[in-house]
Amino acid sequence: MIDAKIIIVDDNKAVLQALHTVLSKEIRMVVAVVNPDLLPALVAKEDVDAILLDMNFGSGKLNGNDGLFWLKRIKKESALSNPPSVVLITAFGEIELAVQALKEGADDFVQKPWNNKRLVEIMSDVIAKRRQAMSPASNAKEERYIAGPLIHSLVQRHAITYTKPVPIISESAMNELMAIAAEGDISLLEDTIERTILWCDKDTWEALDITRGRVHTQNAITIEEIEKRLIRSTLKATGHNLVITAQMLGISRQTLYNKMKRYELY
Amino acid sequence: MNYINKYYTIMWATAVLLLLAGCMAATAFHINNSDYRLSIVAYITMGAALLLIIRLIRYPIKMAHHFMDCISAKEHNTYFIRNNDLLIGGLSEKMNYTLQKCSHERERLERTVVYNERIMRVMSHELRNSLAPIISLSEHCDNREESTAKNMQVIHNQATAVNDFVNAFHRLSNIPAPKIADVNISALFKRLAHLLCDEKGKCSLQFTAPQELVIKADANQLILVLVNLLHNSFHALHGQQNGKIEILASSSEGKGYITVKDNGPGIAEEHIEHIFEPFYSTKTGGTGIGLPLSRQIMFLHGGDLKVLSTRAGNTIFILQF
Repeated sequence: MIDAKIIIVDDNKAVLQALHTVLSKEIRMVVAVVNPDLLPALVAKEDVDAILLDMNFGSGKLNGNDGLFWLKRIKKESALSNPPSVVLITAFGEIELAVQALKEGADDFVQKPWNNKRLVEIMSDVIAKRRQAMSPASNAKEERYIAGPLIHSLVQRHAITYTKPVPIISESAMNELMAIAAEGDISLLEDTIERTILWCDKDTWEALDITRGRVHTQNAITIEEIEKRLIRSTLKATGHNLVITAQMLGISRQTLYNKMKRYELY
Repeated sequence: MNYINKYYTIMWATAVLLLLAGCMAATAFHINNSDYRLSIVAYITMGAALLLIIRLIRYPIKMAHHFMDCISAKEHNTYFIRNNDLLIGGLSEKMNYTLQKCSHERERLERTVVYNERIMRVMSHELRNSLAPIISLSEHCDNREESTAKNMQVIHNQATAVNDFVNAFHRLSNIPAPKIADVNISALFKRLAHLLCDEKGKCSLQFTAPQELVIKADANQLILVLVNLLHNSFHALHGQQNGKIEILASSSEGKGYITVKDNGPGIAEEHIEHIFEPFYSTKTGGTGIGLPLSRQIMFLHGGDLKVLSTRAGNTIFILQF
């Protein structure tokens, strides 16, 4: 049981009930509301760790603007010293919406129907990351490399390119991909992911689905180089906003500072 | 050329009269051997008349060209000036009428497409919202009693199956418009070969394309179609010792073609007329959207996807651009 407080917002009562049932088993305080207008009042006391927010309120709306509006209000305009993490949830399949949400500062993105286990994982992760960001000590585990977010962003990118749904990556599949990433040849990792996206039609990847591509004989880029490039391009994309960059890369601010220092990315 | 349009018949009459006048004057000159200036005037008059006649003959031909350009360029807002001219009035009116009809038809089709797209998008959204609590709670339930657990599993599987269908449906009905660019097929094949051949470099795929062949297409969608066909071929060749897949690109009369041929068992006659139907599948657990999706992509490219299968094996899929 995680000792945290989260708010869940969805105007569909059945969805809200299901979310509440699943999350309250793992998180101590889960406040469920139908109306997002209540959010400013609810977060004012600054004791909320995370918000799980639907992207559309009211029927017939076809974009995610409601969710993005509230995201902006909570993160940027709320004058809170440390706004809660925000995870957006939607029934729309368009991955472009997810990318846009993440660019606007969302901490993560969930699609309906969700996988119960994965949902709990995501909420636990964003709560932990926020708490960690609040205390500047860096995590030695993070110092190794950021292959995880790199893999997720490659998977997303190729899914968009080929208009295929973004798969859930099981732990065994993730281990396979991490192993390939650890070898250092990033082109091989990219090819493997592109190949698996094209070839595998399942919605969840298992280890057996990961088929290694062919090794590039020339230009084997190291993981350090790719980490440097990823940080540099993320900084550029966020206009050198360190808070959002750290969020997008899934590392603490302190870790980001350390890496920027190491790679001389001021 | 407004005045030609409005006074077409009168100008024809004028031209013919001038021609006659000129002929008569020339004849008079030759018969009477009168003033040579008369002959000059006569010939100039006939010349002018002939020039005018040539212009008048070319005018409806120009109108027809312009009309057909408008239709093929889909510019239906052009308007041929209406007039009551005896000879050309009817033609103008017919052209205007035809352009208007084309414009209305096109608007009608566009509105239908937009309407359907909107419905399908909202439908996926609503279905997913409805399914989410069912899938979530049926998995979450604390099922100590075995029969309850079994029943919950059935509910969960059913809901998941519906969700899979919604996802497949969503993919079929939401193909983005192709971003057309010049695609060097030889380079594309090289990339595919690299992507699909396994680690050891062993490959039962054979790619052939002329070096300079360039086809106007959306490269990513094209890769998707080819991978889909190759996937099916691999599946068909499973366990076959001499399994081979040949991918060949060519062009003929300005049109590009790519064929994907495998020497597998072929497609049975009772299936072959159904394989492009959405959700039709001969594989257990197959979604049945690969081929209809691929065909729709080819349609959006202004082309087609066809199949040939002989009973002796050799299934050939033909991408027509």
